[in-house]
Amino acid sequence: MKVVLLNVLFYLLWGCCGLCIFLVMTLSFLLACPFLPSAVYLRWQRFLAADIFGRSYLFFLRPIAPVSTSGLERLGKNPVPRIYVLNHKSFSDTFLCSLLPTRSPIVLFNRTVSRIPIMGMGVRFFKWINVDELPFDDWCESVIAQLRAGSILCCFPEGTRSGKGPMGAFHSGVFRLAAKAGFPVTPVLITGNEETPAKGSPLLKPAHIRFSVLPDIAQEEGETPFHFKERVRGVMREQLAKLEGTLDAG
Amino acid sequence: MPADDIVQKVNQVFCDTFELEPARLKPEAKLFDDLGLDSLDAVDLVASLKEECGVDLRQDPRVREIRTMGDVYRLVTEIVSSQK
Repeated sequence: MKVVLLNVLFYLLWGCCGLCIFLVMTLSFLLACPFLPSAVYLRWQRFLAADIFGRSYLFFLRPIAPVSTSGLERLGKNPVPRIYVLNHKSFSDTFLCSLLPTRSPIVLFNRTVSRIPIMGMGVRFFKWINVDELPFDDWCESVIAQLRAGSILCCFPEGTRSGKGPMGAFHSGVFRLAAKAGFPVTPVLITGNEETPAKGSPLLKPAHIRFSVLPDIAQEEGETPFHFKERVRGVMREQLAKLEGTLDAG
Repeated sequence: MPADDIVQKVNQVFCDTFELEPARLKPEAKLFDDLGLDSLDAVDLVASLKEECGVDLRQDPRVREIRTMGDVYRLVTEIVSSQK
């Protein structure tokens, strides 16, 4: 009963916060859009949507599922071009990305996300990249240019939520991008939120979420993108098993 | 080309293109679930098979039915046989 009440409270507060952000975005659109260059305006809108909205989710989630972080200190305060690769267990993973030092993240999404009613509209509005709509080379060039301009890229190479199951196979697109541009890949592991919320349910179950940033992994000389992808996945699987083992024991 | 040679050549393509260990290349191994390939890797595979084995799968509709290593061996064997 307590969990249900906390959930009701969470969705009410987060909903109000979302509405306020939406109003600020609409107002800023009307006032600033005619005067600001579109790139500057887009960065501001992405900051409101991804950073502030994401942080508000985590803030209101705290009574139900506190989040502890590790490894964030090695990223520094100023974002440098890098690609974050995260495991994907739950819907809340997307909001946990706001813990990363960014002011204008790029989001890659697929046709499944573009069909979700509000989220689909949002990702199109922010001109994030639908990898199913564009040829690889086209979206790759666009992402590299945005990364060099100071954005960061967060992606879930499993492509779908794994929930309580094992980590899924990785798609290789983002590793090809990293190889092409020479950017390092920073693996990030999220544990504990398998049921916060579970797939197909809005209910946020109490949990202790851990957000762990691992050291950067760069492509080795002569290494194929496929092998690079498998190597990163191997490191993430190994570390995930260690973390979940620790959680079980604890 | 004998069937064993085709299997060996196809395995070599997988080892060179994806740096996979030969022990994983069994006929029942699923390309996507067991070996971790995806659609972009499949494009590389088709290019490598053309280069190394001389088989052009780009316009072949049967390529969509490939699921396992065994399917790759079978399709390459069929194409090589039809080229004779």
